[in-house]
Amino acid sequence: MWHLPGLELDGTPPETAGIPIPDSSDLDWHETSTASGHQVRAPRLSDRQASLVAESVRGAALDARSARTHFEVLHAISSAALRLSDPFDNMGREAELLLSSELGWSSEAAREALAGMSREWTEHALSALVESEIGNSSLLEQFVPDPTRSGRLRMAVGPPLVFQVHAGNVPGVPVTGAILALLARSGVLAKTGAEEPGLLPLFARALGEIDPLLAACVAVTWWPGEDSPAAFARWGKEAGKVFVYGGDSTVRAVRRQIPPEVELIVYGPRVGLAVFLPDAPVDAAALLARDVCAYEQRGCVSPRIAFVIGADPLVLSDRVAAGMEAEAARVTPPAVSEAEAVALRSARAECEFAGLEDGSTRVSGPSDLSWTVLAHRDSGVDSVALPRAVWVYGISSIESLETLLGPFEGRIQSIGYAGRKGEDDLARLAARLGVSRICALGDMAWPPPDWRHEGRHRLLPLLRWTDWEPRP
Amino acid sequence: MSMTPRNADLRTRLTAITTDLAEQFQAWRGEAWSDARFDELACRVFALQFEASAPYRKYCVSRGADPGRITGWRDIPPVPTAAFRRVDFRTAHNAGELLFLTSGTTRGLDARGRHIIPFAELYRASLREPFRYFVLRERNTDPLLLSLVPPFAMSGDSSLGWMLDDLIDGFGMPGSRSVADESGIDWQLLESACRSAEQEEIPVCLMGTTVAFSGWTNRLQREGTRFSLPSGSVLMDTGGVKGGSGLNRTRMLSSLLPLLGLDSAQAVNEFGMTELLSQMYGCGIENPPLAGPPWLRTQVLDPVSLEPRPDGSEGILCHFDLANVGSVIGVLTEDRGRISSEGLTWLGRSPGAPPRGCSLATAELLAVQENG
Repeated sequence: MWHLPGLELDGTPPETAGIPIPDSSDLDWHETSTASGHQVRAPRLSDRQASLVAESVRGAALDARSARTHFEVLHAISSAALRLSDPFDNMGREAELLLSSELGWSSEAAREALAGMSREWTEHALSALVESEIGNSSLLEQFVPDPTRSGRLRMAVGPPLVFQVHAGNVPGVPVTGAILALLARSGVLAKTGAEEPGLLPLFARALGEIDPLLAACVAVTWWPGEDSPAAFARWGKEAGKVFVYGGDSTVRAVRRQIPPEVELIVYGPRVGLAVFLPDAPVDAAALLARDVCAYEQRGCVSPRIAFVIGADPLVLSDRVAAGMEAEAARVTPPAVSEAEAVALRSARAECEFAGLEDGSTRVSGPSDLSWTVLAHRDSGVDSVALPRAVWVYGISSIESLETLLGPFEGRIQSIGYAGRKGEDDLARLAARLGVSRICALGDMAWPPPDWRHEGRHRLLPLLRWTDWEPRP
Repeated sequence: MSMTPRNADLRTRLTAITTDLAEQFQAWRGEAWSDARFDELACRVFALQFEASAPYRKYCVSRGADPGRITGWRDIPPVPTAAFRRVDFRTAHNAGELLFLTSGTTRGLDARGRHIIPFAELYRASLREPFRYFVLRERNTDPLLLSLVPPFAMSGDSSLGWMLDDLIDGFGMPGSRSVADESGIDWQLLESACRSAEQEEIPVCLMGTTVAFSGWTNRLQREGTRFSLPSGSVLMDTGGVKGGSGLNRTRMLSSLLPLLGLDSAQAVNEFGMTELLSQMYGCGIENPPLAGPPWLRTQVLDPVSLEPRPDGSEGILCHFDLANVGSVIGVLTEDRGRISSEGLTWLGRSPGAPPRGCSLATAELLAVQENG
């Protein structure tokens, strides 16, 4: 048996180079089904199998350190990743089908998301990221004189193995996670999220066609969130660092599994917001709709709540609704699930009834629930994570916004805004709240590659530094 | 509210239909009602609610529904349960009216739904005969009723507490009572009452939330206590499993019933909601199909289009309860279910919706007790 210890869609093992599952004759499987009903299976690794996989990945990562230069790694991973977003490449077509199948997205939505994520996978973008975080990529493979202290040399390299736990359903995040780890010269053990388990295995396959040694540095599998199989504990123990992308319950589950001395780096749930300053131009509402619909609002870079200063939120919500309608015409929204439908109806009902007496609210959206704008003349922060749904609230000033958002300090990913009046104050407020990025509406979903995700470095957390101070 | 002639007339008509319905509820002995009878009553109640409740009227008008266009219960616009968190639906103000609150949501107690009951007597009439028919059944002696839910006076807002108090008043032999208060369930009191009933051969009707019975199961197992309750005894659990507790009702009852000397035919599941005054009941332990009185009808709807789904398919439950004269009769829930010839199978809250329900409140109570 010769395939990734990972994922099969509809029971067909991917024909790929990858890591063989040791002792696989009596393997049993975790199963799940995608939004469009395809079955996904992933092997239930025993402790011994998980340990052998980890050993094999660690071995490959250590081999690759001497056998590949940084630029070879950069070139190979970027080429592999970019194949996923190339509509003329068979891997690109497969990626598109995969996202449509997993998430129920239209092919335009899948293509657009792949194109969006591939912006940070180009050699140029990845080089810029390395440059901005460590200054000199040579540090990743050799000791380099430190310009800040004469006589000192420095080198930065990741641990031989990292374990990345992706609870989230944001497509592309697991691929970017693996890319960063490979740049740090670490081997990657990854657990993907149940809703989007497939893109990382596909990346590993693409990488295998370009550089089998590097592909052998990536092992990916999946198991149901509530399970904590042997592989969970084993990979937690074997890894030098563990990265968790997910909510509090996932973080708690991971903490229980890993030894206390293993460093845990958490990327938790966050919310994106939008602010319309008093002089916001009329067309900004359409930009909000564009940001809301990007990645089908799965990422925390998409805004969920918009605050309107100095204008009528209900009037603005009509323009947002027109923008949402235009977005729906441009990229067909996925059908909502039954559970989403119930929650959307509940949210719509609450908004409608809150303003039934005094007309202070407005609900916009089609009866198929494919998008929803819920506007309140009064201020508020209530919102629910639902597809293509945005809450619009009135607010009197930036000062009031600070009071309102105080409790969310550290939980806001980004703020998109329109207008110039008070933008300095808004930016300073963003800094006080620990918001990692504030930018123009319309650009929220596409941060530059060297953006500090969650306000932190992206490559640096993977690295371990060695300072060498030879006798002068 | 000043009493204008129009108000006085509305008031008279509301009182008339309330009295009429209460008589029909009290006279019920298990027979089905024809579609025509239900439609006629539903249309009368709807017309009054449309007239008496401004928010409901606005809601209906925005959907193009008014009494002139409603020809049967299926045309009546149901109100989503979420609306009860924002608006008081009431058709009258009455001295002695009741206020029930839902158990809260993940957003906390400020987001609890409110249901005002101006016609408490109608509520009483709606719950007694169905309880006799579905729970006490042909048992001819009045049993000892023991409630594991605090009396209404202590919780002050729980529809379940009020209902169980009333059943104790209406059906319980002397000694019937609640064995719980604000601080939790008095297990010793419960067990000594069961022991006496066992010795005196008095049938017992145990009533409580599924979560409370689960707590009792653990305690009986831990302490090795067993009962052999007299024949004619019954256990009624309510609330099912909410709040993601991971509790399995079937497994819990499979453990509990033998400890009490009961069999699965002596277990009844009660289904009720704060927003509905009538209840449904199912006999057995494995998610038994539920049936209710004929003044309560339920539809299964497509969650997206809200079109009715054929019998046998799963969907979102929408109830029409004539006992809700004081608020709105149509209630669109966030519960999933399926209707077959055997009755309604409740499949739990839709996973996208916030968990809530009376089970949660008792779970908190239990947690307080166990920690304390």
